[in-house]
Amino acid sequence: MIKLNIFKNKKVYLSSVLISLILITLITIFFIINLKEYIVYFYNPTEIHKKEILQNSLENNRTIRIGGVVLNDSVMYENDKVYFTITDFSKQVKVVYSGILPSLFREGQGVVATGKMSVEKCGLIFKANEILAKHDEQYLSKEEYEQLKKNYKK
Amino acid sequence: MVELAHILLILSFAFSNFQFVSSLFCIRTNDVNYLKYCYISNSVTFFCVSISFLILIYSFVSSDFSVKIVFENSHYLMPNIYKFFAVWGNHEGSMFLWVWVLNLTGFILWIWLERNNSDIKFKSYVMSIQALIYMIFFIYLLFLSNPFSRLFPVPMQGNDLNPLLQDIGLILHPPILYIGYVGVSSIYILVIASLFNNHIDYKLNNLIRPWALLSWSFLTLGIALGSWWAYYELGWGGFWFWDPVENISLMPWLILGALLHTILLNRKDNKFQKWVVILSIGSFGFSLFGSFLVRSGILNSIHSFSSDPLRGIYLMGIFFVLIVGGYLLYAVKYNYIFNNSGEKQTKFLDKVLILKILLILTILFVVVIATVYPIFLEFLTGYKISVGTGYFETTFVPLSIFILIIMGFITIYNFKKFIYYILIPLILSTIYVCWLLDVKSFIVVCGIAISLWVCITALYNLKDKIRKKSFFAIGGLISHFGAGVLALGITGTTTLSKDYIANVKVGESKKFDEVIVSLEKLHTGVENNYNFLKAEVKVKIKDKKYLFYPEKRKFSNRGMVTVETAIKHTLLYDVMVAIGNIDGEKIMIKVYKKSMVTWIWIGAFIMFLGGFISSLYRLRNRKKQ
Repeated sequence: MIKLNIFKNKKVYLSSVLISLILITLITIFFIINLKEYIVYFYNPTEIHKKEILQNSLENNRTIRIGGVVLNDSVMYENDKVYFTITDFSKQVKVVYSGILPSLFREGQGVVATGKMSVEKCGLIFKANEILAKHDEQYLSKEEYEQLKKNYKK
Repeated sequence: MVELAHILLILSFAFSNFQFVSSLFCIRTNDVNYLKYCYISNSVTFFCVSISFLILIYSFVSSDFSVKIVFENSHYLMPNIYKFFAVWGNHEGSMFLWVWVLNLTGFILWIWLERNNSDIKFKSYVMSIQALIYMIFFIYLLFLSNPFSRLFPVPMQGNDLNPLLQDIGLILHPPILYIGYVGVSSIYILVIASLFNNHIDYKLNNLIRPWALLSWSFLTLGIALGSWWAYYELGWGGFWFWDPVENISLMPWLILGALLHTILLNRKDNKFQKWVVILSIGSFGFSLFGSFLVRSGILNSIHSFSSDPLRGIYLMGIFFVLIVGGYLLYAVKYNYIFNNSGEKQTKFLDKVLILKILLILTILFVVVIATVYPIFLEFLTGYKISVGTGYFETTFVPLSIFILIIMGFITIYNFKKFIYYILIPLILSTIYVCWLLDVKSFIVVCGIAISLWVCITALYNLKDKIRKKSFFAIGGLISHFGAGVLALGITGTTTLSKDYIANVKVGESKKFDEVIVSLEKLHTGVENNYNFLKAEVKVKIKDKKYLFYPEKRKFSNRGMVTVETAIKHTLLYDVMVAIGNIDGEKIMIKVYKKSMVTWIWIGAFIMFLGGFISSLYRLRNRKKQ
């Protein structure tokens, strides 16, 4: 039976503190190890075109997330598949998705795609199994929009 | 008008300063007159802030585009009701709402305390800490997120509110969630005041309990409303995405749950008074930490809010000062906390309760790690990561199942009673539900059985308590029943839902195993501030026929397209139909069948009711004493 007055003894008290600290660390480590298994790396199109990252995700067949803006005039429908391009206004990634697009999805909208990179006949393509549209309190402010536009022209 | 509101806001800041100073005088002199000054200044502050808030609402309704946030978030053609509620559809306005709710709860707090507590020193400590928190948030509002910034020259037309926000969800979700978040501050104020007052015993539990119940129940309702809003408006079909912003709202909710159970644990002998103090300070900590993380923009979330590093730093500062300060105070005043030494043995049910509290805290820990680890990793290595659903499925879910099983433990030592009142109803109801839902997999049957186990034991206990006329325990049992219903809904939705996609022309139909989808008609038209395309879709499930009218809208002022999903709710499943891509004549019709999803909101609402009834009962009960 638990008796809480065992803590009256100083040695017992100290050792119980120590044991609980060790336990907490162990639990934390356990959770973080578990977490590492389910980590999904998040890249923007510029990062995914870097050699190491691309190779790593291709070889290990890793699930990753790509975030960016849907390029204007890039959305194409073919059968039940949607092809579009995600851009960060310097590099681009082609994405294919067969499934339900979120209602907010449109050209010029910020999206996050989860899936895997793969090499097909037409070149490098991101096979997404989930598309989430970013929702915002406000859409891009004018300055941001202007800056993105400038960036794009470069 | 707006200048008047601004001046009123500055005035209320001044009055909260006055409240602080006079409460300090009261602490020194123990003179009741100073306490009266505190009350007057508190009321004046509340009055000023309310008027100021009303003026801001008025400038939204009257479309005064010289005010910056009105220009950014409103439009002449917007329906009047959304003009009204657009006030809190942006950062400045929502922070103003936050401060107003803070003032409201503060106002109620002192009236309530005045009726129930005669310790002048304690009350003046409460007033001073309250004034301090007021001041901190007034500074934030006035200097970092001023809702009254003007624009010159005055624009002719506003920018319109994000169409996603033009919804009943916006009207309900923020204020209710804020009552939950801000209610926690009352707990913090009461605990810190009694720490300063060098006196902490079982009375503190009775003081903070109604507030903990109030904020817990409103958090429950607020989170559920947010999830409901995302479910039907964002069209993703899910109710929870394990997104950081969503998880953050769970943190204060979980710690409040642990706090409530710890208070219950203390009902006979105060063995765990220290836990109460630690958890109380922590709950306000998580409430601040959450708002800091959401507002700072360092989260990698799909729900982004306008962020400003300076605001984030200020909120972080508040968090550190209040919480680290609170714990330091706890350490200094450690000896003034009357913990019962606990000579008596802990009962079996109390041990179960301790296990439950520890499990809730472990879940909290799981959520905190998943939220904080990505931030640290990005800070240290520059890699952006998000935590996949798998992590929560392997940690959060089993722990919650364990809690659900424990929740059903009740005081039945009589074996016969257990069989008749629990076991037989459980088996029968499980069989009935499984038959109703066509469940074939064994794991799903287990999930349903566990959820029903929680419901049935709660109902049995409820009957027992009503017969014994001990009404104070009813609220908690109702909440437990709600948790069971919620678990049932989640089990059903995550395992039994299906979606179908049909690419059809007008007049065509497509058959899936138990569902037939046919597109009957299409028409287009113009509404207030958008054009729309409306479809008439017939869906046949088993023997039942449903007609749907999903819409696609194009808003004139931003050129943005939104999809209005048509929903039919039945008790067993929701059917949602949305228009997908339009490819020439062919139109993609998306049909989602979500089993049992209604039970999630029903369960959450029952949980809210339980907590709310209980908190009102306890708030009133204090008066009589």
